[in-house]
Amino acid sequence: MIQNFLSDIISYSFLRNAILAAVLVSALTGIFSSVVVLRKIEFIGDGAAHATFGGIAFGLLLGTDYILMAAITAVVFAVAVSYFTRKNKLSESSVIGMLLPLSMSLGVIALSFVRGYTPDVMGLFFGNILMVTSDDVWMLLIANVIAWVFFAVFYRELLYYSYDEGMAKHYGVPIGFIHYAVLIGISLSVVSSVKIAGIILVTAFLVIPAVTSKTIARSFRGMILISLGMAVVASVMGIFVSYLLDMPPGPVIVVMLFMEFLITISLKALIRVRF
Amino acid sequence: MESEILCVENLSYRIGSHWILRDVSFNISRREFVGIIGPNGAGKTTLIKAIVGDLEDYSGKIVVSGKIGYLSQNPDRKRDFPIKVKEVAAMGLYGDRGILRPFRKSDWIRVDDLLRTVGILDLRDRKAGTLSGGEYQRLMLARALASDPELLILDEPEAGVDEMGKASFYRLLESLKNEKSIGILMVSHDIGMVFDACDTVMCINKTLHCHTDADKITAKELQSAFSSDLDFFIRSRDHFEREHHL
Ligand SMILES: Nc1ncnc2c1ncn2[C@@H]1O[C@H](COP(=O)(O)OP(=O)(O)OP(=O)(O)O)[C@@H](O)[C@H]1O
Ligand SMILES: [Mg+2]
Repeated sequence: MIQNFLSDIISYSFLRNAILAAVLVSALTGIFSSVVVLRKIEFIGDGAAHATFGGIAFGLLLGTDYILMAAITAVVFAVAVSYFTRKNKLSESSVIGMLLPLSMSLGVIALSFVRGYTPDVMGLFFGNILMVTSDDVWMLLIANVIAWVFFAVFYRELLYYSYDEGMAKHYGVPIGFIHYAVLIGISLSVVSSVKIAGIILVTAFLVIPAVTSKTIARSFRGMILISLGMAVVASVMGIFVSYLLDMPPGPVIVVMLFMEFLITISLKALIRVRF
Repeated sequence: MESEILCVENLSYRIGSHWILRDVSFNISRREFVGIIGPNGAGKTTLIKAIVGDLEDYSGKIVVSGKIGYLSQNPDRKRDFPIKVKEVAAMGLYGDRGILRPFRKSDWIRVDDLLRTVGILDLRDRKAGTLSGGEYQRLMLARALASDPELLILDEPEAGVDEMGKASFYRLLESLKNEKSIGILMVSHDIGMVFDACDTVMCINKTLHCHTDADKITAKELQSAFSSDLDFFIRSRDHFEREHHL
């Protein structure tokens, strides 16, 4: 079983790329998940992914590269969310909840002007992990390196920003910079992952690992590392199980993430009962 | 004047047509321990927010000549947040290090000293959310003291602290004031304690009703600030009359 799996990994580059991509997507979104959950912006994955719909539609209308347009819209979305939350003291969830339908609607309006062939834009959001190219893998690798360096270098700032933004600002933490950087980072990660993993899986990676690790972590660093581990383990297990049982990988990974959550809280309850 | 750490001139603030603070002016010198009293909704927290820079669109002038340590009223506890007590205290040292300059060993020693000073050193590695209300308040004080402030601003710091804790709290503030010659501005509803511990008292209710030595304040001045405030008359009049033999 495992031998077959391993020999197939060696012989089929699509499977190799799929596993690499799954691990890289899970690590990229998993590392952000702690901040997402602690800041209570679980909605952001959905928001960023749907916001790019608008960008892609405008890309088609203008005849420009739609991946580039998706990236630009993701940044515009992140900046808009950051701006409205900081300037008008609205919660991130409220702003995301407004901008998501807005950009979807603008996208639909834009699409209605596209003459002739309109590709299935929504199809882009369901991702296909078995059609990953090595370019995708490289891009994800670079994105991972940037995200990791960001977390390593700005660990304290991220901690204080997530914990108590107001007092952190008072003590000189560059809250504005961290706020924009985090939201832009998450949005770009979502855009680069969605085409591969699909909206459902990406939002799952952005939320479930950190919800799980929050129940057991005793420090912010611990929470980030446990989330990362949970995300990567679930993606490898998910691909393996989907290979064995011939099921679609994305949904299996989501089920794995949720099982990790259930196992963690059950073990925690058990340990509490025992001691 | 050189010894002044804080000057507030004609500070006014309103929301819509509703005045929250009107024409407040005062100075605070180093080594002055000021107690701010006033009924709920009097504008005490608003005044403090203006001083620490959390308030926009006020009119008037505020000059602070030194570093501020700040303990805010009712901070959001975030009980399940994975942050350690020592990390919360170290937040106060962030400004001394700054971006891209991690804490050093000496900073963590300083954190231990601070936690010892406020009496919660044994909790240093606990999750901050698991602290009791009073323990957490001590942690907030440790953080406010971390950066060696020249002006310490405390908005109801004794909330939730037990009587013994309060007494040592005020002793600690007193010794800080004398040793490091810092100015302290403290909002409190514990009027008895304020008269005991503070050098000067400010009565605030929409505007500044008085700012005088704690033992020179008159009942009339107090009454004008509190006017019909029941809380004051029930809890503090007795104490006040005893103090001043009215
Ligand atoms: N953001 C706001 N919007 C509207 N009104 C506000 C706002 N902030 C404060 N106020 C009002 O300003 C007044 C002063 O509030 P402030 O918090 O300064 O009172 P306080 O003296 O600190 O009271 P307490 O003793 O209860 O802490 C109150 O009437 C309050 O309702
Ligand atoms: Mg107040």
